[in-house]
Amino acid sequence: MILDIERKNKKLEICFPSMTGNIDIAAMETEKFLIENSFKDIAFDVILVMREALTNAVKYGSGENSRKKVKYSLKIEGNFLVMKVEDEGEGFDWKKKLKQGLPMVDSSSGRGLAIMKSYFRIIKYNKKGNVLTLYKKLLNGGVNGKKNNQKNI
Amino acid sequence: MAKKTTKKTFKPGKNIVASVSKGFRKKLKKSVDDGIKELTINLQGVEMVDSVGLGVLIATHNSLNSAGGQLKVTNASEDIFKLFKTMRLDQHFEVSAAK
Repeated sequence: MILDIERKNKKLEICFPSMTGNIDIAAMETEKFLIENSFKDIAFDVILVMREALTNAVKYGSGENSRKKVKYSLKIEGNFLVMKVEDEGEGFDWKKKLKQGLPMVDSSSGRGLAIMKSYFRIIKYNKKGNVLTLYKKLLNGGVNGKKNNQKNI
Repeated sequence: MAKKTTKKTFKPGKNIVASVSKGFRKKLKKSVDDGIKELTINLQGVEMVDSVGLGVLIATHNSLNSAGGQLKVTNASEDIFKLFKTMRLDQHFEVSAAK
């Protein structure tokens, strides 16, 4: 279980073998990054979406093949928090999936993208569907790292 | 002859997420198979539930419901309670927030 973790000014980058246990380590690093940058108030939203994006990359993108790598980054860019997740899989028909709303209430799967759409403002995929970029608006102090008192997607 | 109990409370005390979902699902399934009808999941100390965790809870409720029982989720943090409401799961089974 070898993870490459790099924390530069306003940016966190992690590259890890595709295993669900590594998502928990990425979550801890994300929490540290958000606290250091005074965004503890939105930690739940960001970590939840990070878990959904990484779970999709590990389970569906890489088929839980630990020889494949998942790259994850989180950075503060102007008034946005930008999350990027890349896997080594074949991609998927993301246009079709993005159009879908919430699954039936008794369905035990299919909520990952719905959660991402509920908590982040913009969701983009590359053409193939193996690189996901998400944007969350930071209302207060996105650039200067002041305390973010207001929740927003 | 002792009366068989049909109520049980689980207090996971840790996040209900993808990495622990298999073990958690197994425990809940055993309770359903043992004849528990009213299963309460006390979320005290739980900081995160992801979509895989939600899936485990929904599948458990569906199984209980088929057997005439139900699932209850209690002590959800403010953020987790909001997540259940956003996903409209409060319309499927009983969810209550921490006081």
